[in-house]
Amino acid sequence: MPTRVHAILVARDHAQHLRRTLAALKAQTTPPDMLTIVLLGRDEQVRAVAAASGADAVIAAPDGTSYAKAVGLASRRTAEGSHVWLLAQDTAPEPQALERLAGGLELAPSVWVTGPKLVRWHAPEQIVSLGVTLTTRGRSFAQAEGERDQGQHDGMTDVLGLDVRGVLVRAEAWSALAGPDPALAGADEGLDLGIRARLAGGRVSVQPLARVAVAGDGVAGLPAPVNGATRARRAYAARTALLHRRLTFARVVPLILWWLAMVPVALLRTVTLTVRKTPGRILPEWGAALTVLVRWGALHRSRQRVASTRIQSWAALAPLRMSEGELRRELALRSDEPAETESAHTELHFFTGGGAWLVLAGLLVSVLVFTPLLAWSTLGGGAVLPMNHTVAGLWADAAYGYRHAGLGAVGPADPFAAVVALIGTLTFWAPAQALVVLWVIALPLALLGGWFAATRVTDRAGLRIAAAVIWGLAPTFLLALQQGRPTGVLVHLLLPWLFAAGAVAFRSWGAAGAASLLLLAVLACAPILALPLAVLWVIALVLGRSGIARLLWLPLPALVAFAPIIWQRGFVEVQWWGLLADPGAVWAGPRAGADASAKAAVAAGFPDGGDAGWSALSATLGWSGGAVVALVLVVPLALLALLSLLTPRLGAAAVLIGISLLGVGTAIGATLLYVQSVGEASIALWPGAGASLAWLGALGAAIVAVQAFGGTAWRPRLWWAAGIVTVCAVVLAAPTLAALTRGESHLTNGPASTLPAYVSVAGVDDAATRTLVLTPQPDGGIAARMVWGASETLGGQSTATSTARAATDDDWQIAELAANLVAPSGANVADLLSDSAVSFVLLVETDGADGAGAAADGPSDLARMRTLEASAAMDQTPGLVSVGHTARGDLWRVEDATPPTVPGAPDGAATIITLQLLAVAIAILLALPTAASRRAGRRWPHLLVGPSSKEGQV
Amino acid sequence: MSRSRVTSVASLGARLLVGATAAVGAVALVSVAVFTPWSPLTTTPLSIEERPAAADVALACAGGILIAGRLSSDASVIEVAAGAETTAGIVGGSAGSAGGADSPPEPVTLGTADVRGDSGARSYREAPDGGAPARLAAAQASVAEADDIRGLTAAGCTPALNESWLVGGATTTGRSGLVQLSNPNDVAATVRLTAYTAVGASPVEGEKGTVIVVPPRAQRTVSLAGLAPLAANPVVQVTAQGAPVTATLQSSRIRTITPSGADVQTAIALPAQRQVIAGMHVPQPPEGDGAGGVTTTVRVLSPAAAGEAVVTVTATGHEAPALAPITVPMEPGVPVDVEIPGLAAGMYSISVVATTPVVAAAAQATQVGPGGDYAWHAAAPMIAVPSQFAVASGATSTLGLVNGHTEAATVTVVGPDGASNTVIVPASGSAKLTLTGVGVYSIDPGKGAVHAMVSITGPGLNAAYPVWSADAVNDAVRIYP
Repeated sequence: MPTRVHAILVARDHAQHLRRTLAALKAQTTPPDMLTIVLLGRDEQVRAVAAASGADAVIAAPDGTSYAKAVGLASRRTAEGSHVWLLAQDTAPEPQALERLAGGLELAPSVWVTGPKLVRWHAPEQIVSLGVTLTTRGRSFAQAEGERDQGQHDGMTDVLGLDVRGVLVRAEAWSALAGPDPALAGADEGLDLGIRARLAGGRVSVQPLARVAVAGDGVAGLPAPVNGATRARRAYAARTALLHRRLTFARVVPLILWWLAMVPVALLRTVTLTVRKTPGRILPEWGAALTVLVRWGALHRSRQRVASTRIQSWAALAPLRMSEGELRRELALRSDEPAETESAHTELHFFTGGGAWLVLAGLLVSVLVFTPLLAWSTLGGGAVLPMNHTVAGLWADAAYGYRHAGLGAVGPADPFAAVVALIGTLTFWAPAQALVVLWVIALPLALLGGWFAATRVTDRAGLRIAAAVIWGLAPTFLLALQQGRPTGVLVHLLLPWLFAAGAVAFRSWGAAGAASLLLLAVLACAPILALPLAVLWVIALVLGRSGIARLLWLPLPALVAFAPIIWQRGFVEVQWWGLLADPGAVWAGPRAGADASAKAAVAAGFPDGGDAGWSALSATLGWSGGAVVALVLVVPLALLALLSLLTPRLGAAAVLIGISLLGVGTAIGATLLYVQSVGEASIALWPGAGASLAWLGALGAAIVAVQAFGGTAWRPRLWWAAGIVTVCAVVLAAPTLAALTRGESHLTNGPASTLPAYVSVAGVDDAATRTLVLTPQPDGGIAARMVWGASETLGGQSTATSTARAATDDDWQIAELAANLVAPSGANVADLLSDSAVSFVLLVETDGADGAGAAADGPSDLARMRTLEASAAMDQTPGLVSVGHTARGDLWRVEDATPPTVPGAPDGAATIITLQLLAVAIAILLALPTAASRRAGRRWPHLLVGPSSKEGQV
Repeated sequence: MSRSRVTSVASLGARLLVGATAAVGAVALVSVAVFTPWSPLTTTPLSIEERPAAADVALACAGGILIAGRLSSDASVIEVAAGAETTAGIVGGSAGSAGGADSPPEPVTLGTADVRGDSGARSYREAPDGGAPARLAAAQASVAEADDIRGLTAAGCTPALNESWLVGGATTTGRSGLVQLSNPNDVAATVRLTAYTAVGASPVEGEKGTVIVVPPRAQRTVSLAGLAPLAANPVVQVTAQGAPVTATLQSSRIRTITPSGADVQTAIALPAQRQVIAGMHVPQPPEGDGAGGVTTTVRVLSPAAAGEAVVTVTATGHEAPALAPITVPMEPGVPVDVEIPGLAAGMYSISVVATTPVVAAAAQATQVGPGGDYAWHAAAPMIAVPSQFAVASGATSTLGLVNGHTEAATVTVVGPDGASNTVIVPASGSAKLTLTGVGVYSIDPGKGAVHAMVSITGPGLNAAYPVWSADAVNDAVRIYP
């Protein structure tokens, strides 16, 4: 007579699944002799189904009870000498399943545990599991998972372990092994059972002919990975099981080593998981590590369980385990399978499509346009300042801590300083040259960026080239180059990449990582773009159906990098508008006024409110209509962009036009925000960044229009339109491109320092040399600025200074010093100088062109008066030695200058810098391409706006 | 037409409608953004008004009346034609004349290497009193009555400046002028003199440039004719480096052989778009004086830019101008003389309002014909803090006051005898106060701001000088940190 079988079924939800399972049990050729149902939770339907099932017993247990515990509850009812069959709500055995499983136990008395072939719930030809093994490094591996069942594994018998679902355990073994280990958190319970059986001298076999259909509800075994929550649960359970298994079966010394290594390993795996673009598994990883780390009791019980039955050594299991090599082969076989989905991807044809030639041509044009720059060692003019001359200095300027300005207050650095430091580091042997190089290669870089961004909206080589040309010759970009505005240039270079990566951030972690870094860089260069980009981000979040986590990640690195500044400027100084301030040197320069014509010019893409040099050009020809020509040349692009709204690609067109409108709004808004100041002059934000964004949207929309009409009968005409727009852009750009040769560029060769050579030599030796720079203002006031080291630097500029509205103690101290220097004073000026540790005093000569707001014909009377008075007062000040007149102004040296005290690192600086670096590091790890991510990327189409083939109705 | 075709045409129509609406909307949005006159968000740059610690107050007095070329043997010798009466004192202290051993301020005699004899050039220096600058005031007056020079001169002793403008004098036939540069400091001053004449500014650099080193505690005297030969209406800009100097201009006139006046005038600190000559006394012309002649001239110079100036002459105490305002076109760097005809005797104030910063002064002669005296009235600075001035001459002195604001000002003047006079100067109006005599006066403009000028008259004699604000020596500096 066959041994009795006690079926234990655990059910929680999905009454439908339970019904099929119970029906399948009833249909067994040899039904189990006893059925105990453990009900988890209070699902009424499930309760009803269970009650109607005719089970021998129904046990109710709380919802959170694990499968192992639930089985433990029911197994108390197991009669002596009865096999135990482990089932769940979603395990529907085929009619002969139990017969074959029981047969397996009957035929081979050495077999302690046997299990069925698990197949899919609705697809019985798909294998879910046929035995589980361990790799040599301890990972569990479900054999034959996902394979199509063609009987290829039907000869299998001996396995190391099994999936716990549908396992039949011999009666003697059940009492010896004491059921599944409840410490495993739901994964690898069958494997653990199998290993313990094997160590106790029994065998574990699989009966491939006994088939059980499973749904993956997660009551027993791992839930199917249908959403983020179940994926996280699977990762947590699998990792917990692995770590717990390691500690359970190890000897004492390795146990301690493993336990100590738990946190370092988790750290290491965090990096790996990030690089693998699976950041969702980082939290489960840590959860598992911390759980196992502190669960001493459970570990002790598990080890007791093993010790009480163990008679075999681990070596006996070796033949059943899998080597890492085999595992890699298996994984490679599996991942190669979905080859048919790659069809969506098309090659970019950068070389064959002419992109490379275009970039080369751009380089040639750039070299022609900027020929003088090739001989320059330092770029100057406009908002360009010298770079710090050491790499360490560059990064010190970029980090939170003591600012190398003023009296050395503690404060956050502008993120732009990090961008500057990065650029300067590229030419680490001479950071000053980095900007010269950047200026020369800016045009080809813009073409490259424009070309790649265009690949998102068109698959036609010609259109991509047209888009690249129009992008590279945008008036705002050329103006930024010729006026010397590093932030404007960088924003224009970065925006197309942000567009290309940001547009697909929702679907891949790699793109999200890259886009988050680009976003950080763009915002660092132009904080005002935070407004339009935030609007786009919110819209994407609201409309987005998938990839919310990836979208949520996008602004994180930028937020972390800006956090100290947001805290300081927003919450401490309550100056929210100041957060939008342009970083780097604040330079008034040519700017748009407040009248409608200037705003129209800004909206048309001319951020200085001018006309890209056209009126100057036409004036030399004795004609005054140049400004009109410039506006007319922009019109074709605008018309074509608006036309895109009439194409079938209405959605894409609306998004791009929306981007353009946001850009125009930002640009016009920038002209109204006078949040920065130099001396007595308030200066509006630079509208160029907004203009770049507007140009991007309009250009994209125009390309969409041409692309969408490309397949129709109108095609020749629209190709013509694209040609016209390109020619217009080239013509429009011509005067600006020639600005350097026409002598209208603000770029200069050098200076290498904004201070007189006498000071900069001292400053190179000692970066803490302080020079008080006094600049008379047109209103008779005087701007007092403390410059450290050899020169003011681009990275050393702080928006904290340019947006300051409340005087700090340091400001008062500098003001007191300055006031007593520039006017006859009865104070002990030598004491004041040594209190501030000043080494030099420079009285800047305002020549009208340099001083912000000064009249074109020279300094104002008040400024001249102030200069004379200050000069005379300082000549008579004891302790100040006149060095003489320099190109920058009159210089005095402080006799017996007190060296400034060098403070230690401020509190919290290390934490803040670490957090910022961490955010950036995670983004970099996410963005790093891996073989797997490239493979995944190929599954997606590169083009976001559909190709023209489908449409033919317009 | 099949049903699907109808649907597709309908959806096409709907799409085109939506698209066109969106396009029109986009254009409308941009237009609104461009044409709406948004008000900009402007934040005031951070600035700190910091008053330097009070320093010693140093005043320099030009000295008495000098005359050049009196000796036929050496025409370059400058002699003293008349010594100076000096009054100096500290507000709160006792007033006394120069040389009085009991007067608190101790004068330092300035070295006058260019002058033969002691002209009376002095400087006073006073340490701060309890953190505030000493309220020191001094003035000089001098009367000459000789064959070759005649007239009354009077001037306040003023602090040294790095830049000063001397508006007055002439070097045409019969007229002569001497620029006096007094350096009350312990450091030598390098002074550049730039003359503005009908041909514009004289060159400063190069051989013809006039650069003069004034030794510490010394006075240099330079002939105006050397700076601006044969100039009818010169203006001299004095720029000092190394140390500030006090610049004064002494001028005299001879018609045929009749000496017809002498004057010492103080400097104007800075060109401004509004200059005020706060009090000018037009005397009753002597009997038989050339009728129809003009005794009043206003000299205006815009140093840097072309523009227009409007000269308004108002009788003191009146609101309406005495004459229709005179509009004067100005070339950059070219002084313009405006003749003011037909003023009846009395006290007047003159305002010059220009489109660009200007310097201005007015000359008033006691008579049209030969003889008599004249006085240059340099524009008076605005006084907004309690200040002080001295009167050195025993002749009739009048204080002319012009309100610099659009609110009435209550001005308190305390004389050397301790008598307090309160004058209410109406908004944008003027007033006058007769001064009681020699000594130091304090003037407190209350909450308002006034321009003040001391005008001294005698029979056929006149002189005038502006009252300087006390903040000329210890003004707050606006610092942009």
